[in-house]
Amino acid sequence: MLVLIGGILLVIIGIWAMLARKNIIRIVIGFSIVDTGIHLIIVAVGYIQNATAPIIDSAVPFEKTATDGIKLASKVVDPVPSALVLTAIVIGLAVTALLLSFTIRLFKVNGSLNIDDYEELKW
Amino acid sequence: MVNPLVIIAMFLGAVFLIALLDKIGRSLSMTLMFMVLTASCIMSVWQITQLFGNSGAATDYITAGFRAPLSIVLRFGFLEAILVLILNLLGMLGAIYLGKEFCEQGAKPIALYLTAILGATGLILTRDIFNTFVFLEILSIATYALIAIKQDKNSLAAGIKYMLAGGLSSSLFLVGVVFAYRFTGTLNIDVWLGMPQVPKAGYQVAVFLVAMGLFIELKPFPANGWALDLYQSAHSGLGAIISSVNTAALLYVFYKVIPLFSPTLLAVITGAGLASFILANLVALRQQNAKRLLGYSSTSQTGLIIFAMGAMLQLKVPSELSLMVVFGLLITNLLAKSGLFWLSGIMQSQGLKSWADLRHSGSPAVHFALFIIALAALPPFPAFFAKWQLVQLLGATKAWVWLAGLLLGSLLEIVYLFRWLGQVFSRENEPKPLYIDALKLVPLLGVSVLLVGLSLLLGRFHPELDISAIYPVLAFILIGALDFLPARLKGLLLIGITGYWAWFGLLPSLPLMGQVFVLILVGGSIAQIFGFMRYQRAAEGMFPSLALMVFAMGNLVVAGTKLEFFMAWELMTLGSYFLVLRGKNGRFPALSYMVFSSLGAYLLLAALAMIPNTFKGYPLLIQTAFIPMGEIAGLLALLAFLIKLGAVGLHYWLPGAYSEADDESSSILSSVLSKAGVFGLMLVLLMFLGKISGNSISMVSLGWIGVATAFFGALMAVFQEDAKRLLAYSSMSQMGYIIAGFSLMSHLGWVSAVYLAINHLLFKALIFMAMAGVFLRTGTRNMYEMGGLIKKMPIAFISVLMGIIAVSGVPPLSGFGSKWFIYTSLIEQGRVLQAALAFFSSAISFLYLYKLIHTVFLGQAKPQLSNVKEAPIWLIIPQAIFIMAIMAISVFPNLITKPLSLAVGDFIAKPEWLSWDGYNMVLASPWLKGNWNGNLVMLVTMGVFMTPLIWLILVNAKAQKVKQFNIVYAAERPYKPWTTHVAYNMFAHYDKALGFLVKPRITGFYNGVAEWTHSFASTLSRLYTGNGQTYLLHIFLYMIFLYSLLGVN
Amino acid sequence: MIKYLLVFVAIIGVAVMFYPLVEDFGRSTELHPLAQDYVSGSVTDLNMPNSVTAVVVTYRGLDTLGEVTVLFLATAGVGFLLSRKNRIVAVKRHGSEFLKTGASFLSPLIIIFGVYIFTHGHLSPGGGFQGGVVVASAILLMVLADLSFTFSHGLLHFSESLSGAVYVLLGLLGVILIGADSFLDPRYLPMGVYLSLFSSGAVPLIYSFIGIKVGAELSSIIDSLHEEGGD
Repeated sequence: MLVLIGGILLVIIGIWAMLARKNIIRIVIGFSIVDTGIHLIIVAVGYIQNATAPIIDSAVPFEKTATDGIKLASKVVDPVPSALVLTAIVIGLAVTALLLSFTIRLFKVNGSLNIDDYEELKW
Repeated sequence: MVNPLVIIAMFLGAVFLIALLDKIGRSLSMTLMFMVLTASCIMSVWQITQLFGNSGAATDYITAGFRAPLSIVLRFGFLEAILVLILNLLGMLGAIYLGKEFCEQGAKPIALYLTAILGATGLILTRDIFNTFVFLEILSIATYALIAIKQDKNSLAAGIKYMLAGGLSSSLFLVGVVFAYRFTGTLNIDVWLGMPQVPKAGYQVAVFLVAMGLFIELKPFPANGWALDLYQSAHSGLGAIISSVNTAALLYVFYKVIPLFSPTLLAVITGAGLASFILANLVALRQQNAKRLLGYSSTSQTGLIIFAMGAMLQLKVPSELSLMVVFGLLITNLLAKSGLFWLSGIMQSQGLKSWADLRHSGSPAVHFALFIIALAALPPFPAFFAKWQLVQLLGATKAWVWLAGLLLGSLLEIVYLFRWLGQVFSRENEPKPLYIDALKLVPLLGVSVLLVGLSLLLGRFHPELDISAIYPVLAFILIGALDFLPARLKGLLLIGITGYWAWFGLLPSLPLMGQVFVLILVGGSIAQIFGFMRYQRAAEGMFPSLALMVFAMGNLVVAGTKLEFFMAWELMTLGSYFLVLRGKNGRFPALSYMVFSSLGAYLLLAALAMIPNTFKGYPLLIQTAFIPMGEIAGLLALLAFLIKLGAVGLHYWLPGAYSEADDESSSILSSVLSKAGVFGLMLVLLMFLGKISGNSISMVSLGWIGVATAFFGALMAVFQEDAKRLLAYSSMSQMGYIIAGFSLMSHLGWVSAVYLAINHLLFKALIFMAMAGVFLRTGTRNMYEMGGLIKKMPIAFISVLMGIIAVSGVPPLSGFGSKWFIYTSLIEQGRVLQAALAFFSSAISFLYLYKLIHTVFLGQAKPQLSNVKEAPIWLIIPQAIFIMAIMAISVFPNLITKPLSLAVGDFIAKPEWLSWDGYNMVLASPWLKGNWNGNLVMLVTMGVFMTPLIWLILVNAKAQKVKQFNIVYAAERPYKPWTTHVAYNMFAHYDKALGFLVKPRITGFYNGVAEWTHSFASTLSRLYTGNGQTYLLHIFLYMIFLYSLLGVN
Repeated sequence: MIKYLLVFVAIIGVAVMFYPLVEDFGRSTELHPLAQDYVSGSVTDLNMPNSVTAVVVTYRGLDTLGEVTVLFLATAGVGFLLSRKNRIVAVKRHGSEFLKTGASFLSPLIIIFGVYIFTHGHLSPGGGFQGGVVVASAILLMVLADLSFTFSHGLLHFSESLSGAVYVLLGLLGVILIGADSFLDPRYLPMGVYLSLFSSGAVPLIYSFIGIKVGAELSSIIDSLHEEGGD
């Protein structure tokens, strides 16, 4: 729960940075913060109370049941969000990397990082 | 059956290997790319054929060897295969277009491009919501990276804006997906679809976020500034891919998840789609940059498709039907939009005006016209059928507000699309030569062929269409393909095929009234095609448009289903639009003609949506009695046809359209095309026959509209200096009499109306053709610049004289009969006041007719016109035909009155008191008695006319001939010599008395509407400040706005 | 001013919008049936203790393939944007002796650690992505320590391309060896002994190639950014 609220707070902080900061690098950082917040939210979604990591090794004994399933000795958290967050992180990384490369190119071409300097296309 | 995973694996393998292969040679990597794209096309085709044979086959493919919810499922059904095929085809064409860039910039863009297509393909195939996210990101990131094909300041800045917005919306989507998993415990869309709504606010928010993530990616107005900037600045090849491939894939994802929406969310999204459609079209009105305009158009089209999906889901339309609609809209938009983007890459500048350079470029100009017409949802393109179906559905479910919004947006769309088309094809702008890379024409040709092919297939196999419905299009294509031939050959060909078709195809299947109208619409056209044959060379564009129009008019009469009628109506409008546009100053008149015609067409469309379907194979004329038309539908349809007739108040477009086309075209437009409106009017009134009498308020008002049109038309004609405008207003005036005649709803009234219609056709075409010769020889249309042409062009004089006598309703010519009919029938019904006004209008028409013949043919010959000679034979042939026709029906009026009475008698029984006695037509109504013997009148008049003529000839033998300039000018030379001409401001004194009646109030009103709309559009467009942050803010505010509409608590 | 007000409205709006998510969040005490199936399936079907890896590599393997593609896209995109022919040659500054020595001592260890992580992804926390990142961090360390460090571009591109292609091939082997439904199914190799390195079919193999791919891609990104940002 706390992780979830923390994640949402991060998202909101990131949005503020994206909307209120003028420097493109800072806007990109804002975007990264939003991403991180979302990752926290995803992890929070998978959490089960008093559960351990979903790795069924010696720490989590199990026995096979008649119905071809297994019965765990202790609870584990949901493995799905953990898998999803992995993908989300990679994608966030890719977008951030590309954003930064664009920023670098833009700076090289035009010498400014202020987003207000790029308003030629409008209406 | 093909496992779609093979396609994905093939793409990925190629993408990973291209970097290595490229080291060996660029051609190798390019070949690999095309091979992969081709292979996936082939696999989709194979899948489609397999499914045709076995429609029940399983189309879901699991991965990793585990059953459905555990593993990710792909679906490769019929729909998916078609979409994958289209996207890959577009991908291939796009790759050809980008070929040069790929060659120069290496393996990376090739790999990126291929991955983008893969992403789109994956989006179509996957049935897993998180997998959707992954493919969405593959597509987006590949697109982001491809922006760098063009690395200038604007493109890079737009790229950052685009990425921030895109990244944000996919983040929203992700949060939504994760929470949806939390609430439902599944990521599989099909499992999710099978679940009931979770009654929790959190779940609603989750679904809302999923919807928003996708919706924002689809660039709805006003949260689309980021996309507009990119469309404007990015490489055209990339713009084409974003607007077609990306949009299509995203829309399909939207289609997959839309059944998950709660009813309120569905309503919100549907409304947002419609708002996006209308407002984006509105803002586009002011746009001058072609690529940005395409961006707006893309937003509006996407909005329309979302609206269609949502609306049909809410109205519980069967999914096959709604798929057809969505698919029709989508495919047209994909092909036309990517084609236009590719064209924009060929142009040197993006200002709409500079697109005139396309005009002499050959095939690109044809492609351009094709794309614009397709986007405007005009027939025969798939979007037309889709929009038709959508409107029918909205009408059947009485969703009036949506219907109105849809039509309003469509009208705005027409304005900017046809303004653009006008810029290219009007002869006002002078084109510069255009260098075109031959390779870039390949994709254009590809999409055009696809579009036309699909359209013809649809037209051919549409259940509501007879094969004949596509004849106009086929005729257009045939004559268009032969457009390089000289005009005479094409004219003969056209006369041949229309004549054959009318005689063997149309006439036999029609009741008498239908035959009368075929004679007017097709016969009248054929007679005038001779006039078009005067051109020495090819006269490009004229004959195909003519063919389209004439065939469409014929179809109008034989149409059985509502769709056939409407399609013919639209095709007719399109053909005539091109004829107007072809005129020297045709750009603005053509645009206003198109806009008003479309307004009319949409009113008609709405009216048709309110009546049940009619039967195929039987002309509407014989079905009208069984069609239950409500009063509102009737009113709308009536309004539509009144626009076509140019009734007063709705005539804004009329003078321009009838006067600015080429002279022969003007003739055919004002004499023949206007009768299509008459036909429509008659059809509507037929449906009310027996329900509404001629004495009802509505019909009396219609009568007033008619006589008012007659009066104002005549009055405005009086004050014209331009002979063609004079004739145009005269046509308007004559239409007024016809409206009044029909409004009587009586046998005699209708006979008189149709009689007037025929008579108007004859004399208006006659005068126009004669005047066409005059304009051709004198090079001007201003009457005060002419004079004394009687000696130079005697045949033209005789024609105009005959015509004028026929119009004005003096004995002995046919006009007398028609006028006599209309007055008698008005009086017979007790509408004395209307009859008086009609009579007064006739008196006014004397004024302008006098002006016409006097100033052009009589008086002194101008020295600069001294070497004028008679018009070419091609213009005289139609005149001869019409003179003979007029003479025939003047001498033997029974030739026409009896058949007309029979034709009308099919619908309104002939009253006892109307009869014929030899050549004598006898009226013995309780209120009115009279008779008319045309034959006798003619004989008497001839006698009266001949006697003084002979006497004059005898007397004149002694007359002294005076040279024209046998006079001496006194005093000074006038500053503006032409103002001293008798014709200049000829009726100034009438102007003082009646001029206040013809102040351009109506014109002022419509201009005001246009101006107001444009300034509103301009204000709206200020939303797009160009600042990336503001765009992000738009996205958030828009989302919060929609959220507040959703009302989650 | 009005803009800040609107930003404020936007942020409050987003907060309001997220509120129902927090309110209805509740505390879960039980796994979703689907998650339960994944946990037990990873043991019974795949003989794999780490059920996250089971989900990542096998059950939702297509996502992971996409993920690798995304990474590839990022690399290609960054390279495409920044690798222009006429780039300014950066003035190179050497790192201190201390840094260089430390880095050259640590890097091999870090790389070995990374390899360990991605080969044991099916047994313990970690996997191809994590391992790949660790490997790339070694490269980053070397770059930071000694700015004159250059890559063998050929090797980098080769491993990038080949590991990706092999990954796809390993997936297709499932289709070839098991059946049409088995793209990315690792069960064409023996299941092995539970909790041993060579178990769970082809999973360790697949994850290793993912590791190599990720390491190479990230190194490539570092390379591109490094050469561009040299001034």
